[in-house]
Amino acid sequence: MEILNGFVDSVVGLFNSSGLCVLTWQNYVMIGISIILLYLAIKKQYEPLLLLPIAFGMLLVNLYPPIMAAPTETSNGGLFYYLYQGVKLGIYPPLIFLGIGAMTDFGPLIANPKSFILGAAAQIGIFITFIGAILLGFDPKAAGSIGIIGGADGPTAIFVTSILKPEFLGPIAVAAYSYMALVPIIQPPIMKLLTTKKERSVVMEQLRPVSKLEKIMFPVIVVILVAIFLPDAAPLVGMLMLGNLFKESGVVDRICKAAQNELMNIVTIFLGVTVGATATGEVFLSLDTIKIIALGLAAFCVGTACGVLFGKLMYKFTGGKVNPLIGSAGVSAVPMAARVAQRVGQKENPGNFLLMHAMGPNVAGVIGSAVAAGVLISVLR
Amino acid sequence: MENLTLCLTILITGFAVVFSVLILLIIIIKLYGTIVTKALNYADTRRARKAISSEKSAAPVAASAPTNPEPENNISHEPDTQIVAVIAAAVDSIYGADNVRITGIKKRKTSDSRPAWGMAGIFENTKPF
Repeated sequence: MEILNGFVDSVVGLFNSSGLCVLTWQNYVMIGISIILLYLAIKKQYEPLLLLPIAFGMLLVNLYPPIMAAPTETSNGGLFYYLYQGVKLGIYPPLIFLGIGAMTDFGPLIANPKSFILGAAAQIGIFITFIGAILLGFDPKAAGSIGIIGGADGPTAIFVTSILKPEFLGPIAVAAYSYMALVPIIQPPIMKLLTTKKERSVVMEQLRPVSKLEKIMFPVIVVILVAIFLPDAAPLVGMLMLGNLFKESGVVDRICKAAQNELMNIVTIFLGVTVGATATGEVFLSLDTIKIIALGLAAFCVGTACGVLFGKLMYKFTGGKVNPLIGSAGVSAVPMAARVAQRVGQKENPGNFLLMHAMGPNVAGVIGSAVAAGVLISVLR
Repeated sequence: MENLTLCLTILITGFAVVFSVLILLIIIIKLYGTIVTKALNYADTRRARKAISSEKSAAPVAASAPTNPEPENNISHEPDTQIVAVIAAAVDSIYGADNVRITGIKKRKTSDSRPAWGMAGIFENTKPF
């Protein structure tokens, strides 16, 4: 009899601790959302490197919430709690920037430095959205964190939010990465709306070759300039430029490969799953999240539109030598936004290759969004 | 009112700082780009001159041989008959037509400024994107 009672108690205990009793309806909704995101990552291949770990982290935390639990006197805390410290303390974003720097060729930007203007123009979306967020009732720190989604740069958005408004990390990171994944869907209609067929068909002149010395000097000059004028952007820009110096110097090949591959991949896994794990049902399914997602989309669209409009200005000033489509790549999202400019341009003229021209504003956008992040942090902190 | 002031402050500061930092970068990159290019060109010219002078001093007899050498960039626009033969053989092996004769060779005018091989190379490199 005692054995039977023990058996029943064990089964009841197991049932009470199972997801069937512990999970709320919000968790089930989030499980559904995570499965949709997994579908988009695997079947549609929308930024799968990011979306897949994010979606799986989201799935896991909603199935088993204690995986994000902080340590107590009786428990050691969940696995994701510890991995999440890299996000919370702002460690992962600069490490991701190190990898991006090691993979990025700044040659197109050095060959055509005017691209910086397009990279700056696309950041206007950040500041316009800041105003929108304030008008929707967010406090200034939250508004700054929401606005940075317009930079279309996941690590930068996480870095700024972890400093200004850590409690919004989940929705902001998910919104930023989702919109980055949806660049091929969001940008083309805006690009086509704001340009004429003639403008989209412009074939740009070939870029001048850039010497190795120029490429080596570039990261050193940028880091000195940015760190002196905008110290708050130094961690992001500094690591980006360190990665680039690894690549361009050609003397630390092993380190460069580690930054490009092993380090980048490991940090991407940790960042992805823990960012996804912040999207618990209770936090995510709120009016604020809906507002954040709407504002993020607005930021993205305004940034793209401003980039294209500045591209049109450059088209006018240069007598039709600049294809305005490359302005859309100024929103960062490397190299997806440049690819979109290439594809839209090739639809008008199959012999037109805008990829390298669009990479200029694209990498300028990375620097531009890091500078914008520095401005927001220094003013709002 | 307080919010409006903050919004305008952020907007103006953001525009001003982002644009000024990036414009400053444009100026610096242009400047050092010009300096580096000139310096490299100068170094190349010096190296070339050195090489010529060392050649002259090493072989003074050879200097008397060709007094008027053909400039290197003076490439003949006449078709290379060997290349024509190779292409004709390739066409013949693919299509297998008898009594094929080459009646004329002329440069094809294309609307695109890029040569066909250049286009093929760019297609190959940008296809993954």
